Amino acid sequence: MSSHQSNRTNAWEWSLKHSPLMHSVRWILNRGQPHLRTRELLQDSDLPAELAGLIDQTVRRTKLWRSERIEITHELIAHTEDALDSGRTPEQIVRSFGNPRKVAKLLRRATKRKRPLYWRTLRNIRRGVAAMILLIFISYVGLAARFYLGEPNIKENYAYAINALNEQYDEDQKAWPIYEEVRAAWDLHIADAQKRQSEYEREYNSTIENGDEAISAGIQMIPNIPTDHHDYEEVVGLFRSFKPQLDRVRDAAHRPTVGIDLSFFASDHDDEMIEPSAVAHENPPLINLLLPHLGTHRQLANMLYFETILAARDQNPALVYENLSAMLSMARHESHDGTIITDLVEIAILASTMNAMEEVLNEYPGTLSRAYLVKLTHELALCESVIDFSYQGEIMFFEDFLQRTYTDDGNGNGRMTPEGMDLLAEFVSFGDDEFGISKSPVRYATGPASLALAPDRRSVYTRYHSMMDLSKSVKDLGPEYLPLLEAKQTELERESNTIPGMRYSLIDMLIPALGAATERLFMSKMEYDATLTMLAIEVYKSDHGQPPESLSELIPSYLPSEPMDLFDPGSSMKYKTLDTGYMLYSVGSDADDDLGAPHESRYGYPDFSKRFPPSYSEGGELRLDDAGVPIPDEPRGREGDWILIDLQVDPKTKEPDRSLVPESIN
Amino acid sequence: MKIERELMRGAGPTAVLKLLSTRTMYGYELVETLAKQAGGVLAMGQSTLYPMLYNLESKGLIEADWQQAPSGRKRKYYSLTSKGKKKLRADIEAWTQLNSAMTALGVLEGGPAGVSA
Repeated sequence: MSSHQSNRTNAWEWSLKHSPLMHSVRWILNRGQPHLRTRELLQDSDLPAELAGLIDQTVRRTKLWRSERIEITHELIAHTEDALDSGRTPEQIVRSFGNPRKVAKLLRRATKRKRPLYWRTLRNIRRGVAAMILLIFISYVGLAARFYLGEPNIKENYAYAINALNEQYDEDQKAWPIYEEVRAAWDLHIADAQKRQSEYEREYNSTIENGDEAISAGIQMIPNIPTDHHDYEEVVGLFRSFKPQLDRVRDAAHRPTVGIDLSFFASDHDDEMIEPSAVAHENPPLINLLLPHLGTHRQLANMLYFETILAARDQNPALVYENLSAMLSMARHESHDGTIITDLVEIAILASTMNAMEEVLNEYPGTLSRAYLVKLTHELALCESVIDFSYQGEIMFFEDFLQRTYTDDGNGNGRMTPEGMDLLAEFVSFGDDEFGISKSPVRYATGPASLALAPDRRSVYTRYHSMMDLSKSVKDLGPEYLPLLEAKQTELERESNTIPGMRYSLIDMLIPALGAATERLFMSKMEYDATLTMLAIEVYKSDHGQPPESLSELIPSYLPSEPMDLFDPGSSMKYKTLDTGYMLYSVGSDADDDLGAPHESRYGYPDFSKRFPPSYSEGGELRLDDAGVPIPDEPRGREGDWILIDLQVDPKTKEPDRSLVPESIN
Repeated sequence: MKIERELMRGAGPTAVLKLLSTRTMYGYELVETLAKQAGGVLAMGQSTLYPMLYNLESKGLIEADWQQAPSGRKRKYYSLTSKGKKKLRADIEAWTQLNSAMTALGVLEGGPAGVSA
């Protein structure tokens, strides 16, 4: 019997040592540290130190749960004690035990397999999540590399090309230098009066009681300053003394081009302007291009309008004609930028001119001789092209944006770039980037995600052009096709509200409000046709002493064809003679001929979207007839007609003949 | 004679299952019995035995139970489960077929003359 056998504990001693009570005592004494617990077990076992150490070392290396380690320790102790009992020496046992590190590893692996299902499930979930995170991380690193290596390829230098068109003109063919000088001179000319009038306006408005009307400085109301305004005479005086400068404007208006060299702001925080560089990528985005001439054009046109009325009051037909002629030329100026906003300003100048014509004929009849009327008719006829959109500028802005935002694979496709992200951030915050998105760590972290989220270059291009092409078609087809545009916009908006479609949201902001702009075009077309017809009637009156009974009498000597009422497809504009004059009107958005009874407001515009409301099938599809024309729903516009021309010589008889109007309107 | 690890990995569990089919045994007893009955061929130390036992337990082929021996020593006794019995039958069938195949090939005695190793 070996010495260690003599030291073996007998059954009751072992039971006492391993009783739950003693376990609890040892647990408390060991302050819950499991390795102390297993060591204690080994100490209690009376195994030789080298064997106890071997087991301790092995079990500790398993890094298993405490309960598992205790169980393994128990089993290895029992095994070793049995081996000793059977006569094995500690050296033999150590030799047959193997490498503790490898044994620990095998024990750990095998023991873990015995763990409960919930633990294994959680472990598998953890592993799955970790694998997924790793996969996402690796993918994101790949995406980041692809994103940050992408660079836009800016090929087209639109701003430089626009300005280059001015080089074909001599300096004396350009209107802008004169316009710019005159505007500056006007600002200087009115500075004192403007200050005085503005102060009076401010003081007066600060003292008014509830119910009293606020006033405006007369100088700010040009051209619609009432003759009884307290500033009226001062404003008239300012105009009379400014005539030499206005002569220069009239002269400049007949020059063939505006000839302005467009510029960019040098930076967001600086008013300094910079000329476009000949190197495309050195230029800011085209969307930052400034169009300062538009405001100047409007202002000068308004000044000519006011002077036209003054000249009519003074019975100065030559000056009336010169002003109207100059305004028509100003509307016809070639604009190289081709934007809708520029087109709309030209249309607005044309509309002002037409209003001035009607006002002169209405308030100062007989001022314009037949010869002047004929000349104005011819000059107005040249303005037909003004009432159109080329869309070229809009497309340039868009394509410049695209070339600065995406890479270019040479086949019309590409992917979002870091520069593109910054540009979009600036665009969303209207150039200020007030949120600091472009330089924030968030931008650098989330940037690559835009590759996965942003649509590719080709699909953005296709989406934009599908809308522009449709708009062009509707513009040429007529207002009854406007529902096509509305349906398309609704479709895009609906798509933008879906998860996959959200990625187009920012790009859709680049699409101009085509529906409203196209509608405005149709309205202007009718106003234009009505004004041409009014001039033809006036010439006819000069020849026959009275207006024609019907518009057909004007054809072909005075007018090539009858003007169309776009609110009543296929029908002519409505014409009515009165004892005091005549009216030209449209049935308006209720589609009923109310015999010239107007809407509540003379200048209230009817609405094509209420005249041709789209109708949809049960499936939500726009209803079309066999020819592809949208089938409109019932007109929903307000009652009354749209009065285009109301030319009655005696203001007292301006009210339409109510006896002819149906009772429902009266 | 030392058995290659891969062979041991296949034969060891079947041998343990077979021993446990006769009666419950504790770890050291299994080691001793294997060594004696297999002439030392299937001798294994603690490093091999216990991971093997834990694996068989995790698969539900054997189950363990702590019992106190008359000497007072507490030991973990292993016994075969019904699943373990089925597995043993399948293993024996497989080994028998393997044996036949090896014999037929002359790898084992009783095979075609002149081809035994």
